[in-house]
Amino acid sequence: MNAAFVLARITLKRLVRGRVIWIALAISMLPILYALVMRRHAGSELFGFEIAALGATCPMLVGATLGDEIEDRTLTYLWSRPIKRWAVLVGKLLAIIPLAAAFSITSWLLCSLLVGGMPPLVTILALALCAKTLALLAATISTLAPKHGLAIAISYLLFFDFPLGGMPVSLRIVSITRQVGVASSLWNGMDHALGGFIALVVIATVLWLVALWRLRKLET
Amino acid sequence: MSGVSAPLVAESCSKWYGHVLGLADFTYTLTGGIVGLLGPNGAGKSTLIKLIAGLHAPSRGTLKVFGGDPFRDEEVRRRIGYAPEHEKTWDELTARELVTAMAELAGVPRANAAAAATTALGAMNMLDAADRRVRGFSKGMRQRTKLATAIAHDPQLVLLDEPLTGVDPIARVDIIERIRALASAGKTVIVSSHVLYEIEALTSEILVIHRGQVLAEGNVYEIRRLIDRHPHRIRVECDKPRAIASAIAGADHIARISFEPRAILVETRDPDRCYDEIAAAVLDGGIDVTDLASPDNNLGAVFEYLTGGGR
Repeated sequence: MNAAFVLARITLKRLVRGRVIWIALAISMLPILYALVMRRHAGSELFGFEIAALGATCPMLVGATLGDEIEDRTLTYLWSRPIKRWAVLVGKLLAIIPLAAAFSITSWLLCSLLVGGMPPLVTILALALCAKTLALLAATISTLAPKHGLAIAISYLLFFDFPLGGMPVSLRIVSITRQVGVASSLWNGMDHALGGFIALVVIATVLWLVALWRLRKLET
Repeated sequence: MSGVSAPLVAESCSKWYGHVLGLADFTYTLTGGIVGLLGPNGAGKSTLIKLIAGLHAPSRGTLKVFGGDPFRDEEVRRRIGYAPEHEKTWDELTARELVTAMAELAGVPRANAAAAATTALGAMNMLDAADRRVRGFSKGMRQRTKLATAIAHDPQLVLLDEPLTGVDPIARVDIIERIRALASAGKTVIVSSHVLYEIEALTSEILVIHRGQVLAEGNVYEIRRLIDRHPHRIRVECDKPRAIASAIAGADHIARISFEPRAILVETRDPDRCYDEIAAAVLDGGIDVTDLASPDNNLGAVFEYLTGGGR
């Protein structure tokens, strides 16, 4: 586990010295513009914008740290070290998930204050879990297609996950964005929030297993 | 795992990438010192080094490093230092941060990692630039930093994949000295190159690899003799090509001389003597040389010759 913490520290340092983190921060703050314009007229769609922003920032941060590493073959440095391959993934995600979640939650808090008050705690938890699940989705896609990981992840969310979540079909249970909305209690009420959290945990676990399987097979 | 196991024992080790053969039926035992892997680009040198580094698992056969499996055994990888061929690294970090991180990831305790990095960077003559970001480094500095990452955790087996690629001549001499110093310090070093004289400068023990197969192994001088039997062309671009021709034409090793506009192309069976004689002719005749190169300084052509493809 020590290797994972070393990698998390290095990943964070690399991100802070790069450009992507600032672009991600700017995207995360975009919902604030909407809140500024709409003020008290803003509804639950504001939360949807936060999810959409996370749908862009998580793949960007993962692409800059894991996808590029696979593509540039710098992963060979890590594979040749006496560390487990899962530790590499954990290390990267330990840096990315809190960062993406912090950006999103800060933005959500500011938006909520602008439109009328503090947000419910459950919405903050939902955003944190959303950051985790979307980072895992992006990481899994990066291990499968490192060259186009960012584009595929964003396309997946934009053209599959979002539309699927809005359809009245049972398959929408696998829509991450929908389950985040459900978990937040803003879309389906508090009664369904727990179901949303459970669904997100299950989706994240499946993604984690696929990413690990892929990393074990990956040769650089 | 025995502490006295040979650094490398491979038995019928093969590696395929899908249908592409990377290494075929490699059998070899390495006991120590510096061993050079020589072969043209795409010959299988990097595949072999990656197998030893534990980045790949053999498709068939076995490959043991210090008696263990480097792909699966972390303790084996702890004893290996690896500098990959590619230039890319974590460019946002300084050399010191990069080497410290790599030392920590190789198992050096955090409290000792900075000191280990300083020692490794010092050994590679990089202390002056240690606190600069890798992004701004020249190729030579990148190579030195890579070498420092490979040795910071004091490994017993050091794998250097094309460590002299893109390095200027002065840095090349310095890096060669530093690699030799590693062997003098008791480390086993495996170094790959597609340039014969780079390997010659490092060691006399070489493995010649071509198309995934070991073509020859043993002493470099024997390989050199084989290669020198191959007619070697030297092209000199100068203002008086005919003056060079008349100075060297009578030598017994000259097979053929031809002329191009402002250049002479010499075919020789003794390149070392021929280079000396051309140099003497240039100095004696006050000839202005603008370029001197060998179209055969490419091992691919020589290997084609050695394997019969060029006959």
